[in-house]
Amino acid sequence: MVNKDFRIKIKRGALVFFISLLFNSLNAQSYLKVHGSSNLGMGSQYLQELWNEDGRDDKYVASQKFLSLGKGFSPGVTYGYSFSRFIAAEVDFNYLFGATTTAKFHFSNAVVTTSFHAQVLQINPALLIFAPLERSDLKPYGRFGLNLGILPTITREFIVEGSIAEETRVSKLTGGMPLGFSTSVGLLWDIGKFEIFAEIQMINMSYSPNKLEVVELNQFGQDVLNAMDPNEREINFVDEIDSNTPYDPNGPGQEIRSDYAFGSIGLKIGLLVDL
Amino acid sequence: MSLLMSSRWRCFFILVFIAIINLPLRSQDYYVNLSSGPSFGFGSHTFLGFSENLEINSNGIKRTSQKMSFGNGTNITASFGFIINENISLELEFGSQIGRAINYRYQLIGVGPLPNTMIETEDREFVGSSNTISPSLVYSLPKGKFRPFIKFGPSFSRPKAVLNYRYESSQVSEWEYSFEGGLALGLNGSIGTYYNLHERIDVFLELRSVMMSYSPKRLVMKAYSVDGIDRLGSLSISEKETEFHNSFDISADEIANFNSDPNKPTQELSIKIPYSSFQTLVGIRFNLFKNGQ
Repeated sequence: MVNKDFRIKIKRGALVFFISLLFNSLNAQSYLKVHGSSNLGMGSQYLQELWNEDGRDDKYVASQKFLSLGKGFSPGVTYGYSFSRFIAAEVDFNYLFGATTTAKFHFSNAVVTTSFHAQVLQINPALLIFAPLERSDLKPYGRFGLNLGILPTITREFIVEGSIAEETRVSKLTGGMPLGFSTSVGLLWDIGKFEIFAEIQMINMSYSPNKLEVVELNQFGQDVLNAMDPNEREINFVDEIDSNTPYDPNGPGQEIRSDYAFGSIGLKIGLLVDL
Repeated sequence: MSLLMSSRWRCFFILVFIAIINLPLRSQDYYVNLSSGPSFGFGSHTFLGFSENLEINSNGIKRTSQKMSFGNGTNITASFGFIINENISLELEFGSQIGRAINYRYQLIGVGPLPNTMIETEDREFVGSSNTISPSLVYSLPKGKFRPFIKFGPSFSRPKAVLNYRYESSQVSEWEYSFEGGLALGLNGSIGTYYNLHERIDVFLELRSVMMSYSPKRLVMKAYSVDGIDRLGSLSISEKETEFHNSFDISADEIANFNSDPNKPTQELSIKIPYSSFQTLVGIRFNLFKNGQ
């Protein structure tokens, strides 16, 4: 009985909340945004395989490289619906072309380069609260939403160049659907037929791939990908591995999954057109 | 690219400046928020290679994944807000996170008194805590019983991360390490709603996303014992302390002596500790002054 009363109260509360969101539907308007965002990695990660080192000429120079795969450029479009002067909901679609993070080891007779970059389609449903200013064409706003990654791909390249060894190994880490949060503050500026906007956007996300596949293996100019052990060429990442699981020498290997930092802070600039 | 970005940033800051000088400062209201709630590690990533547990039992060996973020725990916050207009406020929050432990177990089959084998067990417990100052911009609806809001701002934290490490084989060794020093810069974003109870009192529910990672300046061994006997005093400074640096540039003359002095901390390249979280906060807001009162 108590639970039923509580549920009714929750439902009433939700209804009042929803009505308060829509309290001024006279200004209802759908809109379309086109934008581009330049993102810097944030909430970055330490990877044991990623640092610069140069031990040539009897000296030692080293520097740390931190990784966040969210950095890069992401163009996108957004469809939105403003319920009133103060509140809107929108769905953003953007594609992240990730910038590359590279680390180099210089030895006396070889250079080893390790690099990472990522690509992902991001779908970002969000709620916006506007704070229209009196006697001004500027409209500050805050934005909060979820960030869903579709078809994420991390590309890892490992290249050895030198007199004693030459190898290029390219791996793709794929699968899974990372979920994060996106928050922004920005300004809309009404310049007549359309509005322009600029916002600072934070994406808080990490990604745990399901699968690694070596897509290129080249040694001394020879393609040796087909000679790779299938257990190394393809690896499935899982949450649990039991020693009693049957081993298939011709199938993919198994490893415990790892998480990669995908956070970013970006400057997004674009146009808004009322529909 | 960097030139392009710097001009974009310049353009954005000019727009922000124009907005600020245009804000109608017609209100002189203030408020104080008090809130608390659980914090869940979010946006985890592998730290020092720890991403799995390995346990040996009568059925065999089982490896399981383990999420790693020091953002786990309970948060307590107090903030002071200044209302710029009916939609926008500026807030300064002081927060403290009391960490909840993340536990790892890693077991190995070692060699005991021959011909027996024995299981060696490593138990690691990570606990993070932090004190944070967060200025933020708050956008809220102007009126109504429910007033949804969105917050955004940077956070400046002084985190502390503790690693308790226990190794058990034929004897039991225990270590306590502390990652210390340095500030962590993060970003907070929230969505929530106020519910007005009284002219001067609101309650609120807030969902908050915190993105942060922490690069400590040093690692200090605080305790070390073997079979319960304190052995910390028997270790040299280089065994007890590590200093982290973003880079090294060591000349030919210095290479031979690098990390060889037992009376100096060991030098290592910097690391990052994941500290992101998703927080649920429930709080109360006291409106201190009303217009004209």
